[in-house]
Amino acid sequence: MKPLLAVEGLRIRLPARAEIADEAPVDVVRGVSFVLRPGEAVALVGESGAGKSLTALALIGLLPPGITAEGRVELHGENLLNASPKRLREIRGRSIATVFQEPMTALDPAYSIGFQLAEVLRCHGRASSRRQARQGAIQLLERVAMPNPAGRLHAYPHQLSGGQRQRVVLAMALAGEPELLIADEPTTALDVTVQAEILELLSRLRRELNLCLLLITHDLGVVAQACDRAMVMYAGELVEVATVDQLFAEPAHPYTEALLTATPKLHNSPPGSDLAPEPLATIAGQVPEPDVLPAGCPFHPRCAVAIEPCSTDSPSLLSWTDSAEGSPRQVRCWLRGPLAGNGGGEESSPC
Amino acid sequence: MKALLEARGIKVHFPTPGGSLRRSNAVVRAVDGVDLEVRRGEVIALVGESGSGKTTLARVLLRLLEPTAGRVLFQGQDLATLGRRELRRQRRHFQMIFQDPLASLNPRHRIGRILAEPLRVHRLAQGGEVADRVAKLLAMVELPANAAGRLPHQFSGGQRQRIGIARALATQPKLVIADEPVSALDVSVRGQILNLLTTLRLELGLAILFIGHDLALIERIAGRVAVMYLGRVVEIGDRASLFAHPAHPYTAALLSAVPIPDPRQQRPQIPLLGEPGNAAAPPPGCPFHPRCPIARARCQQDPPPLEAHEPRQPSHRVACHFPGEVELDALTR
Repeated sequence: MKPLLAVEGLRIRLPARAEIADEAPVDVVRGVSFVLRPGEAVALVGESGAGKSLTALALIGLLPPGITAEGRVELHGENLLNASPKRLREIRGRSIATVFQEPMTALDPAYSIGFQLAEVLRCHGRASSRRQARQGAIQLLERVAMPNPAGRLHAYPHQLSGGQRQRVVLAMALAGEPELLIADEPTTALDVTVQAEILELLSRLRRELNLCLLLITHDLGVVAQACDRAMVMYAGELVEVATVDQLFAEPAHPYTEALLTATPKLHNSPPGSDLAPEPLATIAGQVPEPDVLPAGCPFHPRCAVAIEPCSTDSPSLLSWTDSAEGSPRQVRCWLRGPLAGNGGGEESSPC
Repeated sequence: MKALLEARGIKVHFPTPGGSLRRSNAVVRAVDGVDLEVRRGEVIALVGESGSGKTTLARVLLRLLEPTAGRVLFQGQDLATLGRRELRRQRRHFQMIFQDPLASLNPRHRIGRILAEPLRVHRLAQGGEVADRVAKLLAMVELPANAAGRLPHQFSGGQRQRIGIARALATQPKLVIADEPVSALDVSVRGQILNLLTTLRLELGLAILFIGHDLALIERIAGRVAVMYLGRVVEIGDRASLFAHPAHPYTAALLSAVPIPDPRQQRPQIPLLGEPGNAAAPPPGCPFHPRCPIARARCQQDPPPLEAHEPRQPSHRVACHFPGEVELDALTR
């Protein structure tokens, strides 16, 4: 299938701050490449500071002033990094729409949601009269399963619950009939029962509209529930790309594996067991600051299986297929995937 | 065993904000009749959706908020009867850890000063002892001794939460209320902080009231769990019993909504009807009935009492006329 979006060697650089002498610019995202195909749901997973959100902003030309992006971001072959501001405005909303974590920041508290939806529809040239705008707004609210859509047009954002607000934001994002929806932690601010509803809604919209979904999240539970493929990011680089089934069944990168182990799983404890709860699995140390990355593999100081070359040489993201019928996957590690066995000269199997 | 802290019939009703022209006597029933006890040295978790009254209840237990009705007994003593000075003396025994350590640490104070303040306020250390105690506190939360000279922004999120813990433990409390203490932290750091809390609890014999929403985490750390909905405790019990046999449909729905980090183990969610309830206009009868998948006529009139439903588990109590039905329902479908 032809890719919808192809990202090639994306590098995002923070400028040196003028008030700090001798500060050098810092690359917070380094050489990220991936493709998104029509209709698939892909997760971009990582902890805070990994570069997930900046990557998303770079895709739509919304990096904060001063932060620069290099490489290629091709939408149907057109490099968006060179696109004019006018062209980017056409693309945003119509080809690529975005939804962020906190719906209140995307909604204007002073206007009714009907007004805000109508405004978006007019901007996209999808409503030329008041009546069309009203009809369009009701249809959008129906699409996101808002209860009593016609009655809600006059509601203001503060009169809605958090889940309803996120539905309105989703409705606005869908107004331009985008091909790609970037959702940056769309359910993180919501309660768990509402989160499940919104994830369900995202999956349904994806099927109905053949929408490609790029879901940015730190929560592996959300990934397992809502995505087909996952890209794991650590310290500004992709460290593993695989189908969700592969990733959870056989994580290749030690970081992915550690994240999976550190994510507590709900399991029904046997009745009557009053054993003291066992300690939680953790990852030693912390995510490195982008300006003081360790040499070699950025994960090596926290890695349970690191060997000698890990601290000096940085591995590349390499593709391989681990079984005859399996989909290709990628990993950036000396010890796993295609390099396994010849990276350190010894067979060290941790699991 | 005698309870360390006992709350009886706690109600907190806030007046709803109304303009001067629209005088309203409506109230938000943030907490609406809660009995809760915290036993010595236990970890009890308080869970529920936002707006269920967890934090308001915690503030009442710490006497940071005057309840509209009800009593809070700390070691058998009614905190409301204490004078200001005596209350302050008691305060050292119950402390709080907040969700966002950056917001709860003064950005202009060095860590040494932040940790010394509770010691001075409660006159627990004088002169040279202060620095000594601060160093011990830092060691206890596994921070380097030179941390005392640094400012909060020079630490990572996990380190800041360690500082928050050290400050809470400075007065050697018997009870710590931890309000979403790891929600702002990354997965890899979360476990470190929770393990530290667990270790310290066992060493110091602390009781912890843990407010949280991540049920998978809570299953790993709590001994008992209380589930709140619209200002009331709807289910309370030992961790094992409550997680294995949730009796209230709301608890079952919460558990079914926890995302499972494994694509091969996805299961259907128990759907809740409508939208989260409104504490300004709680429904009559069972507060959960408008959202409940199994509600019947009786639920609309009779508020169910919180009581044991299973004779073999007397400490597992639930406020539901039809306890245990939803779980069975989901299994057979």
